[in-house]
Amino acid sequence: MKFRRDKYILRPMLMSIGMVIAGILLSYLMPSLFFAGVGLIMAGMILSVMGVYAATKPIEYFMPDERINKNTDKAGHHAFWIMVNVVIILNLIDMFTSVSIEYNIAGLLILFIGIYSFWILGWFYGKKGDLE
Amino acid sequence: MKLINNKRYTVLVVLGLVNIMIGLAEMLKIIPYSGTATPGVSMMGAGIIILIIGLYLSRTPESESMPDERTMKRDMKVQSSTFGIILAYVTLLLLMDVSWSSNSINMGDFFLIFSRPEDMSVLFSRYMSIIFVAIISIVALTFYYNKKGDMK
Repeated sequence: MKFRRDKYILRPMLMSIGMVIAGILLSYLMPSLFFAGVGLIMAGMILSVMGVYAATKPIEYFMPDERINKNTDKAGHHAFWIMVNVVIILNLIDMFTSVSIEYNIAGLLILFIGIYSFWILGWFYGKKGDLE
Repeated sequence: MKLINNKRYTVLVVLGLVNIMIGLAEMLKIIPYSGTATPGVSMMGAGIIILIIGLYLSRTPESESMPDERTMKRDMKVQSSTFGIILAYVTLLLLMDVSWSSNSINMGDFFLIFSRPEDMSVLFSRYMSIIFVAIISIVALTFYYNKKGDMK
């Protein structure tokens, strides 16, 4: 199996090594940020696995074509409006009712709704086929 | 002169009028509310703005008010990029929240509006800051992509 060794592979691999080292240092030197360090190590390892996978494929495999670009833009556009509506509804609840929502929960809700709507819409528009 | 040239936007006029009526009803305490702030004034303000936009758009001819292909492409690209910016901003706020609540990072009064919610005015709540970031990024990115010219 041939591995590519261009800048698109070397950069993320270097980043992943840096993230793992930073994570180890962070979790050792600042025990209060232990979980942030573990998160950095895990993200670095995931990035390195992705880098190894990407290195086995030719670069043309990852070049997005016109249709995929359009699809991503359309999905991002609708996901943006869904997320903004969620934020506006949360803001209205926060301002005008006696219900108080912790930002820890609300932020996670916004993130989940945003990311999942983007994925689902991307899948839907990819399947639908006709992008106006 | 005809009052309505473009029926697509009469829904905005109706929405503005409904907003103003709900705001009035809330100010006159016909509709009760339980929060600390009065929603009636802001609903009336929003209603007046929507009514003005709706009247303006409904008076322009349909051929002028329809966005062309390039504008639609640009707007989609701008909003798709803003989606990423908001995701990053919400994540940053969450991380700041977690860090401050665990008292592991103390950045002084620099981010006071985020670190002490009880001192925040309504305008600078976290949700409003997200909306501000979205509006500013949309304006800046629209300007940038307009200037850039090539919509790939």
